[in-house]
Amino acid sequence: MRPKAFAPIIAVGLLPIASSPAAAHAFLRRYDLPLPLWHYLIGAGFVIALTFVFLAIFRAERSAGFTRGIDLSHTALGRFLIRSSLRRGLAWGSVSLFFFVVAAGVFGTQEDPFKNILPVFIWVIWWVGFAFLCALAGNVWPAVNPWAAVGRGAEAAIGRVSTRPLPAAIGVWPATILFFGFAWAELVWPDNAQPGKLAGAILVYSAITWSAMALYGTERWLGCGETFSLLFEWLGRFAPLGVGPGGRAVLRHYGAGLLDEGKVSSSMIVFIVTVLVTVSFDGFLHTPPWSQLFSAAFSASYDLGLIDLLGNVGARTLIVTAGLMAAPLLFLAVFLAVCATTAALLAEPRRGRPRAMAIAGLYAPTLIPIAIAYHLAHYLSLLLIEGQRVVALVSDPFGIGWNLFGTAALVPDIAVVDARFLWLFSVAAVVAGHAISVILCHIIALRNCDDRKQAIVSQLPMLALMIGYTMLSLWVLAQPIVD
Amino acid sequence: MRLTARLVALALVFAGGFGWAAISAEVGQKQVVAITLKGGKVHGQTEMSGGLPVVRVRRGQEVVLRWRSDIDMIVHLHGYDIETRVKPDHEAMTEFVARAAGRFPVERHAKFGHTTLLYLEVRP
Repeated sequence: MRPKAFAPIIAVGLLPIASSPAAAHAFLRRYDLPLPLWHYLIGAGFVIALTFVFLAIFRAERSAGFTRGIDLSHTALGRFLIRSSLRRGLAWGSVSLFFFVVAAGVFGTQEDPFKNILPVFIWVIWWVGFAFLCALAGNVWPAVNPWAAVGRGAEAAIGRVSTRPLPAAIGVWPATILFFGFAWAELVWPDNAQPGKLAGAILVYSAITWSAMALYGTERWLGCGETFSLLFEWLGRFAPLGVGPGGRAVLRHYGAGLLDEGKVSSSMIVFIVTVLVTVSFDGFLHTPPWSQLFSAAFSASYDLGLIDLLGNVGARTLIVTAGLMAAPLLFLAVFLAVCATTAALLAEPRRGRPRAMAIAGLYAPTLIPIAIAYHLAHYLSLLLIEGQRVVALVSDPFGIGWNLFGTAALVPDIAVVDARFLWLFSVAAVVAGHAISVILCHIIALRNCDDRKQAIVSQLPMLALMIGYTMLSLWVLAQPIVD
Repeated sequence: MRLTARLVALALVFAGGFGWAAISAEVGQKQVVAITLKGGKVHGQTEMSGGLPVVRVRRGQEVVLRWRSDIDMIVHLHGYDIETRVKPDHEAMTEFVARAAGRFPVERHAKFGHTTLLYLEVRP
C-alpha cells in the first residue's frame, strides 16, 4: 500500500490497515490464486462471443424449447418431493438443528470461532453450501425453514395476536431491509464469527420474524419479510427442480424458472439488485483497488478525527458500511439508466414510451444467473476447504473437549482442491451464468416486442450491462486476494 | 440471415482475438528464499502483489524461508499453519513442502493484532 496514505497513521503509532485485528474475514479466509490472464481473456472472449451467437440464433420458437419443463408429478421423484409427511419430518428436524446450533453459540466455547459449530455452520454450511444446493438442485428452504415451522406451529396452536392486515404497498421492503442487515453482518460486522454475538443476532432476527408472523400471519410474512425465503426462492428459480403451475414438481432448464414471475415490483427490483451486488462486493472487498480506496478513506477519517471518536475498528466498520450502502445504489442507478435507454429505444409515436421501471421489473430477474455464477466461483474453495471443519465440529459442537464420533482432531486439508480446477470452474461458471442471463434476456425481449428486429435492438443496452457485469466478475477473480 | 452471418463472424473474431496468451512454467527443486525484516516490515523484496511483497514458488517444491529480523516476533504462514519464532541476530527457518497451491498470507502475530508481512503464492 502507498506509504503516503499511511504516514499519518504510522505517525501516531497505530497499525496499518492490513492488520485490523478483528477483520471480519480473518475467519473465512480464501487462499485462491488470482485467475491467470490467459483464463481471464478466454473467459472474456467467450462472454462476448456467446452474447452475439445467441443474438444471432435466437428466435421465438427456440425460446419455447427453453421454457418447456418436464412434469415430474407422475414420477417417483416428483411424488417424493411433494410428500407432506417428509416435509413435516424435515421441518421439525430443522427446528431442532436450529436450536442446537444456536445453543452451541450461546453456551459453547467463545475463545476460538473454529471450535464452536455455530460460525462454521452459519457462514460456510448454510450461507454457502445451502445456497449452492438451492441454486443448483432446487429450493428446499420452504421444507426446512425453522422460522416457518415454528410460526405455523404457533399459529395453529394459539392463533394470531391481531387481525390487522399488512398493506399491499409494503411490497417486499421488509425483506429487502432485512437482507441488507444480513449482508452487513456477513461482510462488515467485525464480530460475526464470535459465537455468542452471532447467536444473539440470530435470536434478534428470530424475534423480529416470529413477532411479525404473530401480527400479520406466518404465510404473509414469509412472502414479504422473511428475507431468506425470498432469497432461496430466487436462487431456486434458477435451479432445474422446482414447483411449476398447480404445485407440481417440474424438471426444467437452468434459469427457466426465473421467467415465471413476469414483471416484478419495484421493491423486488431493489431486493434482487441488493443480492447481486452484495455477492460481488464481497469479492471486491479483497481486491487491491478496494484496499487503496479504503486506506484513502481511513486516512481521511483520521484527518476528520473519526478515528479518535470511533477507534480503529469503528472507523473500519463505518467505511465498509458506507461502501456496502453505496454499491447497490450505484448499480441500481446504472441498471435504471440502462432500462431508460431500452425504454427510449422502444418508444413509438403511436403508443408512447414505456416506463423505465416497467422495463426494470421485466429484466431484473435476468441478473440472477450472473449473481449465482459469481457466488459459485467466489465461494467454491471456501466450501470445500473450510467446510471440512464441520467434520471435526460434529464431534465437539460446543468446543468443550467432546469427541462423539472420533473426528474432533481433524484439520482441513488445504490441498483438497486443485488451483487449475478452481480457475477452470470459476471461468466456466461465470461464462455459463452469463450465457443463461443472455438467453433469459432474449426471451423476455421477444415476449415483449412485436418483431424480432425490435426485440434485438431493445435488448442491446441490457446485453451491454450484462457483458460489463460479467467482465467485472472475471476482473475481481483475476485480482490477487488481499486482506 | 445476413444479420446472423455478420453476428457469428463478429463472435468468432472476439473469441479468436482473446485466446492468444499462454503461461510459462519453470520447475526447480529446493527453493530457498531469504527474507529480511526491519522494524517489522519486509525489507529489500522487489516483487509486489496487492501492495505487499510476494514470494512465488511452484507446487511440489521444497521451500525454505530464511528469516532475519531486528525485532523478536512470531511469523505465521496461514493455510499451511506454520509458526516460526524469529529472534534478532539469529536466522530462523520455515521449512515445508508446498503441496497445496494457493495464495497464503504470512502474518506477524503480536498482542496488538496481526500484520500481513507478505504473501506466499504456490502456483500449480
